[in-house]
Amino acid sequence: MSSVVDQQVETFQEQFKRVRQQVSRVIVGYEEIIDGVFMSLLANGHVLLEGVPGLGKTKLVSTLSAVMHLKFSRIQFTPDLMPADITGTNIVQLSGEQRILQFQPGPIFANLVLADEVNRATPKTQSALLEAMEEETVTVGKQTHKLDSPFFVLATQNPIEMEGTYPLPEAQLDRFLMKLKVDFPSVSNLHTIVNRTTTVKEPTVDRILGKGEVLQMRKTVRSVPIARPIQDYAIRIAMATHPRPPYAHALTTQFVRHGASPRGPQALVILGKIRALLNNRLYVSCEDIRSVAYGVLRHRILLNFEGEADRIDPDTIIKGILESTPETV
Amino acid sequence: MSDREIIIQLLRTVDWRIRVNRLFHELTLGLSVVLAALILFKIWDLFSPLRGLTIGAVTAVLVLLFVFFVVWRIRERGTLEQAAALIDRKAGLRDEIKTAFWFLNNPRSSAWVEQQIQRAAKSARNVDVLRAYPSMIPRTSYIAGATVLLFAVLNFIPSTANHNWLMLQAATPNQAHAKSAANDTVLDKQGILKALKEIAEKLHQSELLEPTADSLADGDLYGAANDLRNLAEQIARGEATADQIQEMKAAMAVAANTKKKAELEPALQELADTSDTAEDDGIYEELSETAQVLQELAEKLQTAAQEGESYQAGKTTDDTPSSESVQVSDSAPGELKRSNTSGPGGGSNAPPGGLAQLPKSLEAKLALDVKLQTEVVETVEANKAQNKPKDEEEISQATRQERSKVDYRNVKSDLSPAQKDLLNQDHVPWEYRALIKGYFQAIRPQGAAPAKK
Repeated sequence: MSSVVDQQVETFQEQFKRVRQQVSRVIVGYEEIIDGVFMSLLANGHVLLEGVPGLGKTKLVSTLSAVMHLKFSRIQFTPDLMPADITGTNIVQLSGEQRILQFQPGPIFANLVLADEVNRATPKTQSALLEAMEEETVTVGKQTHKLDSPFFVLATQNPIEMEGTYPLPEAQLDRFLMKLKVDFPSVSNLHTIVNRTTTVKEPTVDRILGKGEVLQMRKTVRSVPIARPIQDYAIRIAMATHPRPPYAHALTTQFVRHGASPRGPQALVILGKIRALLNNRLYVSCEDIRSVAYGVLRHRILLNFEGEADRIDPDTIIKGILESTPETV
Repeated sequence: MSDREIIIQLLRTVDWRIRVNRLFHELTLGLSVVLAALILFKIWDLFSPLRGLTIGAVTAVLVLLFVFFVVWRIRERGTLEQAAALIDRKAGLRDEIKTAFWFLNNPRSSAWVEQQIQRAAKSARNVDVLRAYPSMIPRTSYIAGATVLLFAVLNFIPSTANHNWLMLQAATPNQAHAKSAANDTVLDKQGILKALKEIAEKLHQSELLEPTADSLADGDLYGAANDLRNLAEQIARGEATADQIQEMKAAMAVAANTKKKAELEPALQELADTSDTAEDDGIYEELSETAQVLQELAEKLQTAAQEGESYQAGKTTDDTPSSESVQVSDSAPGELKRSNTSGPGGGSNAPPGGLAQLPKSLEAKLALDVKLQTEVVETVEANKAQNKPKDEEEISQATRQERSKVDYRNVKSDLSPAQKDLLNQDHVPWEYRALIKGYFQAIRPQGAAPAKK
């Protein structure tokens, strides 16, 4: 029995490693981002990438889809984009002599969906993603259409150009498992990027995973046990993001309007399990929880007026929470 | 051993090691605190000797507190969960043992859990508890050792003022009291001498008060008292002119305004009363009262000086049991001294007087006192044997001239017991004396001689 578990863990680690290697052939210097995106995919979640244009966000998702042999679609969000442009719509078609309404799937019907510059669309259009991201279904008219699994949304937004944008509503933000910040690459990484992309032959990736393997990896992740003290630690961290006693941190009380929803500790635990597997452990440790806390909580902490006025970075609040929350015995 | 047993055994070992180290640290810390408190008391004892009862009580309280602390700390036990968390942190196991222990206590049928427990047991086997929690001497033990050493050193300091508590030595109650009394006397003496000189300078303005002023300037309170009594007799006999009396009152009024010192306050008050008195009889009484007050002050200071001296003598005896000598400090100019004036009523009948400046041969003086007392007893016994009624006038004269060798309390009196009680100045507070005096003046027969006090 134990050999089966060891084998599952070994397989998981091997597959993860191979995906990382393949993606790294195209994407340079973003190992943490690659890991975060792939972990979110394995955790059955979605990722919000925040970074300036040109950092390879779109390239990352397209490469990932190529590696995993998954259907990929890209949606460029614009102010005039309509929900039907994403979900699809019923159109009239001739069937012999009769005219019938037939559903025409939108670009959301894919395994990997890149919602590029998601904050440029109106909240109405942004909300078109809500059902798909949570339920993996799309309802048009009276019909509900099931999305193909795995379904993974990777949204990007530009933190610089705020003119003509619509900040994502809280409900939308909460549906993203992680929010990853894409920093500008270093000089050495830029050299590598330039060398790889300015020659005749650009790097390519191999298809190493299929849907089945991804789903199996998801199952493996959920098999990892977690002890109550560790789970309690994750919950107390999430509770500390709320400006209410008894767990509220001082910074939270001062600068936070709303904290993480129950999706917060869920995300901490599921991502902690993946971190445990990657570290060849069959249990989740407090260190795993801490390592994923920033990505999980930073978009779930909604600042109040004082926090916005003082330009408080949610990461600062998370750091304070992590430092002050003791591990449960 | 099963995986469960391995993990439990590891946790128990860790718990024991942590507990031993913690107890060692806390107990030595507690011991240091107790010894530090004892050292403070010991230092206090060096400067102001404490009685054995005090030392015993303080030591008992400290020991009791330490015992309570020890029991409290020993009874406090950690849990195995805590031990698991601590060993995880110490050995860098990243919550492995803690998780495994939780799964052991909350079992579930899962291959993953079983595998995790197996891995944890394997890690537990590799944990070197002695290396993670080595037997170490805490810093507090050094502090405790230092305090023990310091306490021992303090007890064995070769000083006459030191009492070795380790050998159950302590100051006797008399020593403790006398030491403080001696200190008080020394402090008072300087201030009193200064004030007396100031008063003497002011009294020098009166011709009648010059002898008294000289005695006060010499610090001779008994002499000053005798001089005042003589002056009262002189005035009663009408040997002083009205101008001299007025001059005397003025000088006394000026002297009464001297900056007051607590011990001299009654005397200054008497001076003020005398200066305010209009009648000749009143002057006689006031001067007598002033003399009495000065005599009482002299007795009080003498008692304090004797207590201080007996403390010194007792200490010397303790240090050198074979020595029989009594140390008496040498005289210094201007210090209070015993009256050796002779004259009408002076000197011989005064109680052993003087203050710090006792004569060099204390034994000789003590022998003289004993001789005088014996003479008194013989006189009383002889009178009793003859059974002759005393001539009241003769007694009165002898008393006025201070020739009487009998204590005034032993003189046959025609006063009722109630009057005697009222006249017993030992129990009459100062604030009531004027009231009592006025009472007796009011009830005395008209034309009678001034009542003696």
